[in-house]
Amino acid sequence: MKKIKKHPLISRLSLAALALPGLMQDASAGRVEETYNADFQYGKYAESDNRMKVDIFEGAISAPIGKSMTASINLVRDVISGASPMYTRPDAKGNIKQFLSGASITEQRDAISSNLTYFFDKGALGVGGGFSRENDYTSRYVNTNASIDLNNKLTTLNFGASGAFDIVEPTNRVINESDAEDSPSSAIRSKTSQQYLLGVSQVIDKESIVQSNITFGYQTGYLGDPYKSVFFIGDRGGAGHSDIRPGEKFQWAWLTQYVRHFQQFNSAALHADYRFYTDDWGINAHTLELSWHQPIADGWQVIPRFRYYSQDRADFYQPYFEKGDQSSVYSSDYRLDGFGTLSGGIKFAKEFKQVKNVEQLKLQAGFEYYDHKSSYELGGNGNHGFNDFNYYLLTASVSMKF
Amino acid sequence: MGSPCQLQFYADSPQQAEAVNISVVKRIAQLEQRYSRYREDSLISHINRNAGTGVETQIDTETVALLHYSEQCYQESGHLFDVTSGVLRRLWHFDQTQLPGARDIQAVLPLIGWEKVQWTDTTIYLPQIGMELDFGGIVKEYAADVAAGLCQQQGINSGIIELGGDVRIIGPLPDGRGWPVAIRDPRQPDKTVAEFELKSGALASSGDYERFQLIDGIRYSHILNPKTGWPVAGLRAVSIVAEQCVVAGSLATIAMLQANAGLGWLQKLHVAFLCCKNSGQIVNKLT
Repeated sequence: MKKIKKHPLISRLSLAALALPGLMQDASAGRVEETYNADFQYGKYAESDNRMKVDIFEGAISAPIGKSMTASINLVRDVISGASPMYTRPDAKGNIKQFLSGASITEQRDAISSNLTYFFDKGALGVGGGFSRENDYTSRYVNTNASIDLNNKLTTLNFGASGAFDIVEPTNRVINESDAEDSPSSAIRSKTSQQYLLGVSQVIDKESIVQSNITFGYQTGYLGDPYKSVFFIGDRGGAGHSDIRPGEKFQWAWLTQYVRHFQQFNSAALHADYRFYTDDWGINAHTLELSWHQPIADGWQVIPRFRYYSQDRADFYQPYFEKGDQSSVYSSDYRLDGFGTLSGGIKFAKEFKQVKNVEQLKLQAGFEYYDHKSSYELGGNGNHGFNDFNYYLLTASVSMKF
Repeated sequence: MGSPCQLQFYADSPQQAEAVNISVVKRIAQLEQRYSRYREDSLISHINRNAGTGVETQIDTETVALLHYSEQCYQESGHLFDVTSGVLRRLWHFDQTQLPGARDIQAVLPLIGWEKVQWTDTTIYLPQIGMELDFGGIVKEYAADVAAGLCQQQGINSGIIELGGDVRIIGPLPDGRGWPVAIRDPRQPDKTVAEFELKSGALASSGDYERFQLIDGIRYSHILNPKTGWPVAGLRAVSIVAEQCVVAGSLATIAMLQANAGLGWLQKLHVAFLCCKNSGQIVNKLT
C-alpha cells in the first residue's frame, strides 16, 4: 500500500485527538519519532572567584527517514576562558596552596556528531560517530547500540559499544623542557578508549520503571593532562614537572535509575539515580541524584534537583611530592583528589502546543549551584580546603517538534 | 452506549482475559455515565440543566480535552460540526410523521452555536436556557479508542473492539493478518458493500441508515445541519479508515454534513474512505 502524506487537516484532528486522555498511551505504544525535532541549548558555567567560565552552545536536529529510521546531527561549541588550577604546594607555614595557570586562556571546542537509528518491531539498532576539535585536542569516536524489547515491551535489553581515538598537542606548555619524557618530539600524544554497555530496563507497573546498566571502559595511551604539573619539595625545578599517570585505565560503572509517576500529584514524577564507579587508579565514586518533575498548569513544569557526589583519591595523588619519592606515577590534579560535591538546582519548563507550524515548542531555563569540598567526601579522609571551590551553571534551551 | 458493543481479543490466560474485559466494561460504563444525554445523572445532563441559569459547571480534564476536540472539529468543518446542535432533535424525533414547521425551526436555531459556549480549563457554561451540549458524535468513537488503549496497556496485542458499528483494532490477529471487517449496504443492512482486512487503526461510519425517519416516503437522516436546522441530504453513508476511531468518526460526520460537497472534500484529504452517494453509487477509496 502506498504511503500518502497526511493532509494537514487530518494531522490537526489527530493531534487534537491525541490530547484526549486514554489515547496517549496508544501513541507511545509504537514508534513516536515520526516528527522533526530541533533543539538549541545555551549553558553558562562559572566557578567561584571568577576562576573559570564556560559558555556552551548546542544545537541538534533529528529527522525521520522513511518509516523506520531516524537520523540526527548534533553540534556543540564550548568557549572556555579563565585560569585553571595547575599545581599545589606548601607555603612557608606548611599550609598547602593552590596555584593557577598564570595566563588567562580562551579556548574554543567544536564538536559534531551524528547518529542513525533503525527501528524494528521489537527493538532498535543505532550507529553513530563524532569528531571534536579544539586547538590542542582532537577526538574522533564511533559507537553502536542495540535494544531489544521483550515481554510485550515491558522489558528492554540495551547493548552498546564505542571507541574513541584522541590526539593531544599541547600549546604554550608550562612543562619544564628538561623533563626527559617531555622532549619536543613527544609533544603529540594519543589516547584510545573503548567502552561497553549492558543494560536492562523494566516496566514495573503503570507508574514505575527501573533501569540498570553496567559499563566497562578501557583507556590506553597518554592519560595525563599537559597543563597540570607537580611540585617536588627540595627540587630546584619547583613546579616544573608535568604529572605522570599510568598508561592505561580500567573502569567499571553501575548505574540504576528509578522513575515513578504520581497520578495524584498532577502526574508528577520522581527520578532517583544511583551510580557506583570504580577504576584501577584507585578511585571509587558514588553519585546519588534525586529530581522531582512537577507539572503545574498551562504546560508549565518545575523540576527541583539534588545531587551528591563523592570520590576517594587516586593511589598516586598527593598535593605535592618529596624529592626522594621514587614512584613512577604521580599527580596533583585536584580531580584525582578525594572530595565530595553537593549540588542543587531548579529548572522551569514551559510547553506550547501547535504554534504555527511547530507542533510542540518547549522552553527551559535552569540554575544549579555546586559546592565542591574535600570534607564532603564519604567517610572523609581529607579535610583540607585547598581544592575547595564552588560554581554555578545556568542553562536555557528551546526545543521544537515539527 | 445504547448500541451493540463487541470486544474480541487474545489473552495469555483466562484470568488476564477476565481482568482486561472487566477494566474495559468499567471504563466504557464510566464514559457513558458521564457523557450520555439520555441519563439524567450524567455530567452532560447536568451542564444542560444549568444552561441559562447563571451557574457554571465544574469540569475535569477529560471533558476539557473533549471540548478542545469539539472546537477543532467545529473549525475544520466550517462550523458544521457543532456539539450544540443536538437541540434540533426536539424537532426531528424518530416517531414523528410530519415535518416540523419553519417557525419551530427558526425558534430553535438561536440556541445553536459553539461560539456561544463559555468554557475554561475548569468550568463550562451554556448562556441560554434551552441550549444543549451533546458529545454524541464523539464519545462513542472515543470510547473505542480508550478501550483499545486500555487493552494494549495490559499487554493485549491482538484484538478488535466494535462499538455500535465503529471498529477499532487493538492489534492484528496472532498470525499477523488483519481482522476481517465489512461495511454494510446503507439500504440493505444484511448485505455488505466492502469487505477487507484491517491490521491497525479504526473504521468509523456515518450515514442516514443508522437512525432516520420516513416522512411522506422521504428519508430524513439524523444528521442535522446546525445552520439550516434541516437534516442533510446528499450522501447516504460515509466510512473512513484512520488511526484513531474518534478521528475516523468525525471525518465521516463532517463529510455527511457537507452533503453533496462531502465527496470532493474527502478526495482532497487523501484519506481511506468509502462513500455511498444518494444515487446508490459507491465510491471506494479504501486502498
